[in-house]
Amino acid sequence: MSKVQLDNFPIGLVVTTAEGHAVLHGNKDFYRLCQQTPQSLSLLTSILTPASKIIVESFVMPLLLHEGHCSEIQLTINTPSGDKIPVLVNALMHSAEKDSIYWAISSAQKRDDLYQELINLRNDLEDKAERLKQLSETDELTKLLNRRAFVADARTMIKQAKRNNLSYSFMMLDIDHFKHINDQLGHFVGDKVIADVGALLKKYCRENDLTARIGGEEFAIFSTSNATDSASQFAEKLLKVFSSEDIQGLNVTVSIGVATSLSDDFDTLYKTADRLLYQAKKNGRNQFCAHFFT
Amino acid sequence: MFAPEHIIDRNNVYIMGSGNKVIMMAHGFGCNQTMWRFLIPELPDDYKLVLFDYVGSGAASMAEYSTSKYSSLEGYAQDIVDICKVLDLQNVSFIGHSVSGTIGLLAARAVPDRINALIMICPSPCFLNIDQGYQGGFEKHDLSELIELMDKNYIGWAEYLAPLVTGITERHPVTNELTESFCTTNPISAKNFAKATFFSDHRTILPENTHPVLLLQSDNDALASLSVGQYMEKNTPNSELQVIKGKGHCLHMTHPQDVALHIKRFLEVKCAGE
Repeated sequence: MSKVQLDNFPIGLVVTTAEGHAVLHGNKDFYRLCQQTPQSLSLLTSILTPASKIIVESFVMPLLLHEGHCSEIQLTINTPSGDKIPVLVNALMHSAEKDSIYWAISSAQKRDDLYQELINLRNDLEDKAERLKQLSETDELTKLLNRRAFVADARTMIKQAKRNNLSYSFMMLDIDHFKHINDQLGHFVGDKVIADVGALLKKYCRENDLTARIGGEEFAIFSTSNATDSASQFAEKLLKVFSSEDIQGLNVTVSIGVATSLSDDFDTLYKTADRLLYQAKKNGRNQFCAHFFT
Repeated sequence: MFAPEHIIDRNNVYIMGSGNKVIMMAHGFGCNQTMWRFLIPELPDDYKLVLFDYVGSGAASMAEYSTSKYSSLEGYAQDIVDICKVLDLQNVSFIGHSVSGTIGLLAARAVPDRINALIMICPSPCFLNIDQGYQGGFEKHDLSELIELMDKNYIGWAEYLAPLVTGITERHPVTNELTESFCTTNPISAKNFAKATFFSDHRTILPENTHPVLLLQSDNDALASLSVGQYMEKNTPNSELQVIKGKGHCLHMTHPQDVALHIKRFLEVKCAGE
């Protein structure tokens, strides 16, 4: 095909050396696209933005060397007037002519706009998905985990703890005489007490502990440790914290059941912690009962 | 401690040949182990070759991909350390392309008794322009543009959008055939690898090197300039820089014989010195 005919194509066609990408031939549309002349442009890569150079060296060249061709790669070129033009690139390296690369380059402004829309949409979806995930996992009043998220996360933590030979504890905590608070001071104060208790738990729990509100005035903490008595020590500390803190002007105390194990499943721990909590209540409240499965 | 089969599967480890001496080859950003196919026939045949893909690249498993682990080069180095340990590799001569030079250095620091020499092809400890004393070649905004461009170049989009819409976040292992998988990776892991590669600055670990290092640089590389190679030679004890007459960032693919020649000489001298 003669040069005149190639010049008639509405696409930039250019042949470069394989090494260094020195321009050997370019058609009219290529020079129009990059706003260069055969005299002003010697290396194809010199018109690429730095990011596009990375794409060429990390993706395009290995693909060309490996498979002989690469298609639909979007790059950005710098024009002498300072504009950045998105372009779509197809490239070919003939097996019989490994020292040259044949490039077809076309403007990709509309494709770029479309992709930008898609990226914006994706980012928006990601944000929304993240927000929904948080909403579905969070207790509204305390901002702690809700029961569903707690159970799912605790099951995962049990698996990890078993792998690492750590003990794990399920601590169930209930606000003493909460019904009285609600009945005598109203649900508004009751809610504030729950929120304050949640905030205190968040403050004193370790970063890796799971802390949740799993029922009306019931909270749960799941933790792992390499010391089997650390959960009991923590329960003791929490009792002291609650007896010394002023919560909505009230003397709020809690009862705690602590079940620790090296091998039991979640449901067993849950039942045991629940039973121990009941025991602590029965023994007079403001105390904890603990059990370690051997 | 992981089971060997687990790591072999996780990192798509491929072993060729046998022998006590080992050459381990680590691909760079954007590619996978198939990039070594031109160099492999040129390497000495009395070595056991260990090839692999980093988790998140090539045909390695995505099941164990962790965005936080693989957001720093230390996470990638851990892949190498894991492979060395489970296969009980000793006397490892490590060949790393581009960012894998730095990753190899990090791994050699973690298991100094297993890795005993490093060969870095077109390496750079930092791709950013820091000051007049160090010009990695790129500004931060160039690299932000790179992330955007990568977004506009991935076919993995449908695969990425669908789970987001349906709420399923589990990702399936990359099991594409060679043609599809070569130089295409999961879009999330690829961007994370790009950030770890191009936004990090590991110049401070160079002086801590204790192993013989061969630096192979091309005389015209848009990603790692000659001055970067010279900086590395100056700041890395026990290193030598060899400039190969060639252009581009993939010397092991474009000039495998020249690269192999330097590697063979380096290994001979190193082994003679042991």
